[in-house]
Amino acid sequence: MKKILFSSFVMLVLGLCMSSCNKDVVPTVLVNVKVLFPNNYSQPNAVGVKVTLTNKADGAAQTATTDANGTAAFTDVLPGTYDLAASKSLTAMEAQSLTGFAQALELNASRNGVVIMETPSPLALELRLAGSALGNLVIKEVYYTGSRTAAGGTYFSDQFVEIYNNSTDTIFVDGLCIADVYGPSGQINTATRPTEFQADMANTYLSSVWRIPGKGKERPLLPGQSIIIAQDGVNHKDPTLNPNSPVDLSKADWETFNERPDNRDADAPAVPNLERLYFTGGFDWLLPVFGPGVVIFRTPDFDKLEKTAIPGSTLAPRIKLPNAQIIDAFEAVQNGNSSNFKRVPTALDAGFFFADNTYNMQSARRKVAATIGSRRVLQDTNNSTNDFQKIDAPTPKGF
Amino acid sequence: MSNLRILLLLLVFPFVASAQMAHFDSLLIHISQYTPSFWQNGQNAAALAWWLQPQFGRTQLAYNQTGGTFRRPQEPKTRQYFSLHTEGLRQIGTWTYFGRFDHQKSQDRSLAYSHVNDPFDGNPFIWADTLAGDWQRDHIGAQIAVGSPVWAGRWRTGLGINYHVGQGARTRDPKPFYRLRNLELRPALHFQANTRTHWGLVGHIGLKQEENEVGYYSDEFPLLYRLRGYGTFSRTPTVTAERQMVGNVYKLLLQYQYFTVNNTQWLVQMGGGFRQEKIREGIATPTNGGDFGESIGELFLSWNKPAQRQNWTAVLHLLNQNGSGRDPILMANSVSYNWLTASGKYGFWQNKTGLFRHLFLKSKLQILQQSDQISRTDWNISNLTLTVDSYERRPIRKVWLWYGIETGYRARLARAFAANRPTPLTATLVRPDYEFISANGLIINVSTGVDWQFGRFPNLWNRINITAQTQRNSTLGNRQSVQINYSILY
Repeated sequence: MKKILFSSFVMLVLGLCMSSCNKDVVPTVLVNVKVLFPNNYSQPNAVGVKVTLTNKADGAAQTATTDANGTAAFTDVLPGTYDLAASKSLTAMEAQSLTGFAQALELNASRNGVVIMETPSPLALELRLAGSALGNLVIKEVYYTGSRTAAGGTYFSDQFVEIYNNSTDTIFVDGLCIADVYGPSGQINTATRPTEFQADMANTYLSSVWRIPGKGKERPLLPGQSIIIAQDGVNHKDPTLNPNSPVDLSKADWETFNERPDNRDADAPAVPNLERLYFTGGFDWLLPVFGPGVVIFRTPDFDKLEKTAIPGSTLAPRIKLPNAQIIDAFEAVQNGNSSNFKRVPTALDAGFFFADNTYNMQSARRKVAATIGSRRVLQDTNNSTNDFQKIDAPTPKGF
Repeated sequence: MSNLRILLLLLVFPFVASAQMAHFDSLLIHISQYTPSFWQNGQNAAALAWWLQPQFGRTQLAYNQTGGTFRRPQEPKTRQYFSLHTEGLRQIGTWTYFGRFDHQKSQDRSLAYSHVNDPFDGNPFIWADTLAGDWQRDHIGAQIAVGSPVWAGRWRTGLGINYHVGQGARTRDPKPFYRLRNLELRPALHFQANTRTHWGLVGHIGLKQEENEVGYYSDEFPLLYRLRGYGTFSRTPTVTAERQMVGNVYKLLLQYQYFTVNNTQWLVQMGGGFRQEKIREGIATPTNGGDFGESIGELFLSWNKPAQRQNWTAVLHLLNQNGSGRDPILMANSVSYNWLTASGKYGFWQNKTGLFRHLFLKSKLQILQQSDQISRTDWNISNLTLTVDSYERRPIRKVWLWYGIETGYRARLARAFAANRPTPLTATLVRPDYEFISANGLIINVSTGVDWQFGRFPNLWNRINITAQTQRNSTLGNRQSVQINYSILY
């Protein structure tokens, strides 16, 4: 009996010893990210830039700041796929020193889907900043999610975009163009792939383009004022439409009217129509309810813009617009994990917004950075992740 | 009749009464659990004939309701289930047969962070999302065990087969779904060395398979979380997805039983084994979803001393489980755990005319350790649970009334927690789970019931009983469970 008990004890001890035999060392990597100013700047290395490394698998983010050599060091990085982003705000004085122009600038850079493997370590990566001037017209609010009808159906005709004068001067909006950017918002179905034009960081590819008519000085927009561009300029709460809709757009400044032989798009007589310059949509200008890319721009001659075929597709070609002509951009994707579906180049918008769901009335509204007198200055860092807040219902001309 | 027909008859028609069965007392089923045996403690089918159990049958309907805030994050807020259970033991000729059948339909409310059947079985590779929803489950289990007649004067052989099939689905989009099938074979041997010494050997070969699907019947696409350890996870937007877990279990159990001159019984069981499970995702191009392995060591000692007034018993059970997981992305053994449980029981039971009672002091020591190298999570917990379990059964007129209470306390002896690369799930899942496992708690279990005979049928008994359990913690709240059973015994 004693021998049996002793043998039993030995077996259990052996079993306990096995607990320490089955572990590997999980490798980590040292990553050095060098951040550079645009090529024509007076100095190459960007010092004091905040760099963020985000693990795409679980969203875990690490941050580091570039040193005197423009390098940010990330220690202890697990192998995986990452999004890399950097941003730098330049005051007018700093911009004067670097560019010769005393104009505040917002610089951004990003690389999505960077694969970091076990070797090499250290791994050297590079980001080059790019950006645009601040203090101009901005996209203030984009309501794209739509709403539900009383019967639980979907209603998307109440979409609108609000454009705001964020500067200190009156801006004439004659000839201002608005467009949606080509590309899916996320993994809508198993076959969905990101836009074919993602690699082109110098241009933005547009699906449908509209323009505010006028000869140049007919449509003044005062500082702190805004205009509403509606898909349909009607009171959507009307019992014949959708009483659950959150908006009455019968007093919108402009609407998009897609004239068709079958009259599928209604023309609200009280709201003037934008000029339809290029259209690839359905019966009306429908922004993707999963998240659109929207840009406002001016171009000297729209007809001279190149029309580019979509590789491997029979869909209508898209308008290729140089980024230098874009005044402001907004990007929304399907959810927080859809960064690889970004359509707007990073220099114009380094981040993205996303709603919690479709048809839930949520809206993206730009944050207020400061109030000067009675005029609100909206935040504009060229980053929709930081600049926009998610509100439960739209607020057309809320302020 | 052939042995196969007899087996089917036992499973499908458990109400068949044997004309050779003696007068039956519902207490007799209860008493057999006090004396450890090769079958009862080791599922040794070859030793069925030696089980101190009269031939019996039992069919039970039950309803259970469980709820309360003192729970693990991956447990439902409330659970209710209906179940049908039937089992029976028969000796036909020189062969002994045991059969069991279970069917359970359950509903879980507000369950989050788990799309699998059992998130607590050790395998860290689990599908989940952050949405809490209601689950409906349907499970069926069946068991057959056959013990042979003695051959060569001392040997018996036996075979046990267990089969478990089940499925469950969440009612909330994107409606995750699982389906499982588990099959176990337990070949067994029994050897009687002499009138006092018995040996047993039981093998256990198990095949496990679970399939999970998500998104096929949904128009919403939240993020799908793939848990890969204690805090480690990856998440992706998913339209539809499927995965499969295939596992094997192999165990061996050696048994020894010795009766002294005055009938004191010693029973020793020791064994070990291992379990392997592989996760694969996708159908057209399967990808690795994780590999899990667990080794088990077990020791069981019992001592029974019958005496004139009381029967004394002492039991010691040691179980060590050691598991590890190989991460599918970093291809490293990054997750591991070691769970050591030592349970003990000491006390007596007595069966006098007009009264049956027992009184036991029970203890359970747990030493638990878990670590995850990716999230750099490490925790250790030591708990000690002490309870006193008392029970009485006495006749009142023509019925037998019984009642019992077990009460005690789980005390935390020591604990330590570190998460040096925390993730969002560290705060929402890992830490709360650690707090629950290491929480002190008051334990109270009460039960009462009544047995009475069917008037003209002395071999048929009715039983109605209610059990209520509660665990209480001053910070985390309570968890209570109430079950009502109606049984027929024969």
